[in-house]
Amino acid sequence: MLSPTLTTFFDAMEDALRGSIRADDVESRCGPARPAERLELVLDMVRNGRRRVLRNVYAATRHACALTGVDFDAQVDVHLAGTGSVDEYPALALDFARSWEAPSWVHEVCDWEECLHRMNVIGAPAPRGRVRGPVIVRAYTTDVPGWARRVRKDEVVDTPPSGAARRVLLHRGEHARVRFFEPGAGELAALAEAWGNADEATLLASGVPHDVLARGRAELASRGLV
Amino acid sequence: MQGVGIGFRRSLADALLETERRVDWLEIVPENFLGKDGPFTAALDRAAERWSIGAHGVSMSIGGPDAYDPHFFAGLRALLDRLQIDLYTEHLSFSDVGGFHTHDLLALPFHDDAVRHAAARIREASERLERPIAVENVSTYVRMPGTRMGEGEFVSAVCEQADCGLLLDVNNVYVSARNHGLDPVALLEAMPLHRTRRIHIAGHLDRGDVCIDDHGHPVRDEVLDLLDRALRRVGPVPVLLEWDTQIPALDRVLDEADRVRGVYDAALLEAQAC
Repeated sequence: MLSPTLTTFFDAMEDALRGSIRADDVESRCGPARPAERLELVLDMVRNGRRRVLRNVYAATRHACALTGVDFDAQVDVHLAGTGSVDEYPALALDFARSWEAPSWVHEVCDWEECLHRMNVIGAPAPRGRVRGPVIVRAYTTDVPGWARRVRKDEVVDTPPSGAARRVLLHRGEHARVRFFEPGAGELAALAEAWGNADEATLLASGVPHDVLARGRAELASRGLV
Repeated sequence: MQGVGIGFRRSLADALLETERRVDWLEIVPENFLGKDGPFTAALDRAAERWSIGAHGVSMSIGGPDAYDPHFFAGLRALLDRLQIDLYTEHLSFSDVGGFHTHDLLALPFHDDAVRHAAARIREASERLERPIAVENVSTYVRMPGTRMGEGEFVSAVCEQADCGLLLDVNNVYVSARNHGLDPVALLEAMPLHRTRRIHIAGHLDRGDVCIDDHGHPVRDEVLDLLDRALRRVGPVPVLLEWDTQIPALDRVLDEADRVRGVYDAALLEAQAC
């Protein structure tokens, strides 16, 4: 059990870390810090550290926000601060971008980065059926993955993503490295079949030609997904 | 495990697995692997085939008020068992409070209540992990409200009451000393050096008004001097070069590790000669 002194200290620090009081309020409750101005410095370092971690996860999203006048750090403070571990945010906060007002392409960029984080770090979907490893399928209205790649490579990108809509299938290759490609109808049908969502008869009845389905199966096999 | 190791970082993993340069051992942040999968986890498995692995946690919040998470400890113990890591290291600080995760390492107030609390938490953590723990002296920027002891006195009292090891971070000694107007050598000597099981060394940012322990710069000569002094006192304990932000290419990191190793070898050679 904590002593009353420590309880008072931790209660005050929690309030300060959550932003409801400032450093001098902590000192009013607990006594002076030395040097006095450094307690606020420490609180600032914590806030900046959290934001920095999330900037790395959401690098392209942050850039997207900057292009549209949305304050990314403020959105982090409002929607993600104080809840759980940063590593789990993409799995827990799939609606992060959808929680705030922004153009839909910004939401798509955020979704893409969340998918990358889930596949690279934590929160990847469990393997299903005959499919080896996690797979995520997404459809974006423009070339969001290409745009995000250029941003994360520190290229100068001062316009939103453009170009044709892109459908992507993310999976893990050798050494669990995340790979993605643009699946056609055959690959998607073969994936649904391998997942156990549909059998061959259903797929053929839906209009997928047999040879397209066969090529799709071969493509998934060549990539190690089945 | 001996010599000078480096941190196993995501940006270095691919190059590290290909390098033929000398790397004595690797240190992981276990939180990067608990409950996670993906290419970095796969790279660790390959690295463990080649190097001894040490583990240095960042989220246990040893000095904090929140109850330990049994799932965290179960996963951590399993990871340590799998990698055959027999000593766990963490920070003498707090990082969580009331469920709020700071992702930082905050100093405790230095007083008897905090000593008792931290020592009890260290003993509990060691029992849960079924292995000994060494705690690190963190960089301090402020004396927290209620402080009544010196920094070295506090660290010594905690380690004594917990009967645990010390992970001596010589850069943190220097940063703390500068930030509080202390003599770095005197602060080093105030630490429980006889309990040193591992040493950390890193670079820091000197802003003039304050030094920030950002692990993002080469090691300063003054900190290498502290390493030399510490090694002459404690003998051949493993040393870890931390470079965790603004991480350069692997060869640059290994150049810095070689620089640290030069001090390491010279200090131990001279200690043996005496």
